[in-house]
This record gives sequence, structure tokens and C-alpha cells, in this order.
Amino acid sequence: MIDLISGLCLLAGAFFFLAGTVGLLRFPDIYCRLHALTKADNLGLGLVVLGLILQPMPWSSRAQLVLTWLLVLAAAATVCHLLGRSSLQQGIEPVRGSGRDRTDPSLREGSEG
Amino acid sequence: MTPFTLYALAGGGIFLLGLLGTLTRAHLFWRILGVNFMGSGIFLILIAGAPRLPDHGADPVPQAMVLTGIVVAVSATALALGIALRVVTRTGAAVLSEDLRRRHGWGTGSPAAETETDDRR
Amino acid sequence: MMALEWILDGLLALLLVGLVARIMFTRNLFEAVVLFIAFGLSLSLAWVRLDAPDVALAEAALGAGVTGALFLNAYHRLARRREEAGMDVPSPTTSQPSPESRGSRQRPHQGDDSAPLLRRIGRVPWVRWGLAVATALLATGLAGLLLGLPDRAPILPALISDHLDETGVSNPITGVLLSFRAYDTLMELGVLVVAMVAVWSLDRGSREFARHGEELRRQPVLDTLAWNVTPMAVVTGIYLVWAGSYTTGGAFQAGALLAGVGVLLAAAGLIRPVTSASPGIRILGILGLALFTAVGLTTMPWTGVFLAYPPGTEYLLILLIEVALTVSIAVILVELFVDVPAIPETDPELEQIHPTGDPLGRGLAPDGALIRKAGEDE
Repeated sequence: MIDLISGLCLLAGAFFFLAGTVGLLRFPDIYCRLHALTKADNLGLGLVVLGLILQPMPWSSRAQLVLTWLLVLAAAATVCHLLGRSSLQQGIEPVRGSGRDRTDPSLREGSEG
Repeated sequence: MTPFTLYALAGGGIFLLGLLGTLTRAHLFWRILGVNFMGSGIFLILIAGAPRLPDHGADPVPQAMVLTGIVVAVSATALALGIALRVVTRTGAAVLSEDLRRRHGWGTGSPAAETETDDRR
Repeated sequence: MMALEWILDGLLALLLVGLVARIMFTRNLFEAVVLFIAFGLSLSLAWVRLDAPDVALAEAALGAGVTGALFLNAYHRLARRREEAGMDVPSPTTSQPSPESRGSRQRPHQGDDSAPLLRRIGRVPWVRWGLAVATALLATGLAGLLLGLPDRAPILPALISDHLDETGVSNPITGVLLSFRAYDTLMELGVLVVAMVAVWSLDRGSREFARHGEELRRQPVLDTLAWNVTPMAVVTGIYLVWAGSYTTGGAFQAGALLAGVGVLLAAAGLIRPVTSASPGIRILGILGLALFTAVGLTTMPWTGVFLAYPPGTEYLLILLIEVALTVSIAVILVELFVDVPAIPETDPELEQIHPTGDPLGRGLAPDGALIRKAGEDE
């Protein structure tokens, strides 16, 4: 039973990593990509760690895994912040709207530019 | 043949790719990368190619050597990058001047320079 | 489960080779540098698969971390130099003004030459064919060698585990590094010191980092991360040195970790850049080599051989040496990172093109005597 939950958590974590990678490849600009990557880091790694903790192992190893996850969270958050900030400073504009919006001006959010 | 032989073969491939790149790329940074990869390939061959028995675990000697090798590779890369930046300072391009001159005749910059041969070869 | 192992290892091996191929033959320097870091981390995974956790630690921290940081640093300086020089620096690929003189700075530096050599070689077909044939021959030869390795029983691991008690430690790698092959480690420290001195003898970048540090001090997020992670990393480093005697760990791994943290601190602008004249840095850098040699020499009256530990003192001596090694490795590697030579902004060549003031009022003249006009020599 525990094994089943553990396996499901691992699979779910793998799914989030896949989703993050697809986002990295498919999203139009860096801000969207950062958004996708944080999902992979937070949820994906968190679920993988959760799945691993459920396996039989000494409590110190469990603590180490959780600590690893927290450190990765901190590092990823910092790096995302730095990337977003430096992109803004370089003048990279976020892509606004979607394909549909371009055909229907009333759906555009805010003004252009 | 164990799965580890795959890593040894990969190491050989990485070494060759690094060697090829070092020889064919003129940009100094790529040459430094190529030498780095030659090192990494050899590390892989050392550790993955070490014979092992199921009961004895991994051979610690190549691991110690690779550990030393990684540290040496880092310091060599640092020095090489420093020298490369020095070359950029002096010549303005991260390419050794002999590789550059043969192509362009130094900064003439015309598209025709791409195809002209430099007879100072 | 064997099939699963094959699939995993096969995919990882393919990933490694594919990354290297992509890195070496792409035109984009930035892509190459970033993928290099990815390669380092994948290689670290491979080390774990190969039962080499110590090597995996060192590869992740040094191979991917510090080397990647070095490359990014150098790339940044190269890109900025090209931007500042604008049209007047001949770019090896294009005959037009370098693209970064346009407004956008989104990708300031496309990789250069890519294959001017290959293109030039390519015009002479026999060279290209010769290169291809030689590579193919080499590849088959290498593959044949690796596949045909005799399946003999390993000798060394048994020898080492038999004699491990004599070293005073129970981690075979530490035993090999600091006892059985202590000369190697000693010489490696020598290499590190030489590299540090050589980098110092180039144009140093401390001015660059002073300015860089001021800019970065306004980044609270990076500051917070550096402040909070550093104590944890230092404690982990101390633990690694201590644990090296009985489990995964040791001087190199601890030194690598501390070097990584040092690079983080340097990048966050929290390390006040010291010049090479600072006696503290010199002493710390030499410490490992000096202590190692001193231990080797002072034990000679007892053992009669250089660098043989007198029985009973091995554990203490090894621990002492490892602490000194850790400090030296960390300090030297951080120093190598911080002192990547800056490309001086007040280059006399460029002064005529882009006259700049002296914004920081440094009043320093670069070593103009050394910087000659391109093409003047030879």
C-alpha cells in the first residue's frame, strides 16, 4: 500500500518535470518559461522527495531529502528572480496576448506597448 | 559486457569529439571546452573501464586519480580562460591572429575576404 | 531489472555524447556554455551510476559549478568587450559591424568562427576526407580497445582493502589519496598553486569585481540566499572533511563545496576583492602545499622516507593535512574565479573610438605598454 502511494508520488513528480520541460521548450518568452520551470522545481521535486520518503529508510536520510528539497527551492527561487530581473533590465518585453487575441482586439488586456 | 561498458564507450566518444572540436574550431573558448571534454572522456574511461568484481565494489584508485584530475582541470581551465581573455584584449577577437589573418587579411571585412586565400600562408 | 539498467545507462551515455556533440559544433557561445553546465551535472549522475559518489560530488561542485561559473564570467567579459568596441573590432564571422551594435541586447554575443577552419579545410576536399577517415579509424580503434578489455579480476581493490588498516582511515579513497598515493595529491596542490600564481601574473580583475560588487549589493534576494546558505555550507564542509576518513567525503569534496559557496559569495558581491598582495590570501593558498611538505619532511627522522606517516600518528596527520588541503583548495579556486582578468575599459586603443571618462575616479592607467595595436607585431 505504501509502495503504491510512493510509486504514484514518483510518477506524479515525473509528470511535473515533463510538464516543466515542455513548458521550457514551448513557451514564447523567458517569463513564461521561468513560470514553467518553477513548477518542475517545487512540485516535481517535492513529489519525488515525498515518494522517496515513504520508502523504508533511516529518519536521517528522510531529513536529508527534505532539506535538499528546501535548498533547491531557495536556490531556484533566487535564480528565477535574478533571471527575471536581468531580463527586464535588458529590456526583454513579455509576450502579451495569445493568437486568438490578435484577431479580436476587444480581448487584449491593457494597451499595447 | 556490463552496462558500465556503455559509459566507457561514451567516454571514448566524448574524448574524440573534444579532440575533433579542439582541432577544427578556431575560437579559443571552444578549444578550451574541447580540452575539457577530452579530460572528461578520459575520466569516464578510467572509472568505467576499471575491472570490477561483484563483491569488491568499485576500484578506488581510478576514482582518486579522477578526483585529482577534476581539480587540475578546473585550475587549468581558469588559467586558459585568463590567457584567452588576454588574447581578446590584445587582438580584439577570441581567435588566434594566425587563424584570423589567413581568412580575412586582418580586418578588411569585405565579403570577398571569405573566399580569398592568403598567400602569406 | 537488468533491462532497466541498460535502458537507464544507455540513455545517460547517449545524453552525455549528444551534449558534447552539440556543444562542440554549435555556433552560439552562450548555448555552449550553458549546455556545458548541463553536461557537468549529467556526468555527475553518471559517476553516481558508476559507484563513485566522491567523484560525483567533485564533478557537480567543480566540473559543473566552478568551471561553469568561470566560463560564464569569461563569456560575459567577452560579450561586453565586443559591445563596447562596437563596429571597430573585426568579428571573425561577419564582415558587417557586429550585431550587438544594434539596440537589442537580448543575445549579445553569437558564437564566432563556428567553422571557418572547417570551411577553409572543406574547400580542400582531401583534408576533410582525411580528417573524417582518421576520426573513424580512431573511433573504431578506441571502441575495439574498450570492448576488448580483458575480463581479469581486479587486483588493486583487494590489495587496498587488505592494507587499509595501515592508513588509519577506513575510506579507501581517502586512503589512496593521502596515504598510498600521497605524492599525487602533493603535486596536485603544486599545480593549484602554480595556476594561482599564473593567473595573478596576468592582468588582474580586482577592479572589475569591486565595481561589480557595488552593483550587485542592491540585490536583496541574492544577498539573502548567500547569507543563509553559507553557514550551512561551511558546516557541511567541515563535516565532509571529518567524515572523509570513514565514508564519502574528504578534503577534495569539502574544498569543492566551499569553493562553490565562495563563488556564490563572490557573485553576490559579498566578498571584498583582495589583491594578490594580500598576505592572508597568499598564506591560505600556500597552506596546503606547505603543510603537506612539512609533514613529509618532519616525519623523515622517524620513518626514513619522505611522506611516510609514523605508525600510530597516521589518522591525526591525515586529518591535519586534509584540513589544510580543504582551506587551500577552496581559497585557490575562489581566487581563480575572482581574478579572471578583466578586459580594461580604458584601453588606449578604444579611447580614440569611445572616449570614456574615469567614472570611478580611479585614475589608473592600464598597462598600456603591453597592449600594442593589433597587427603591429609579427
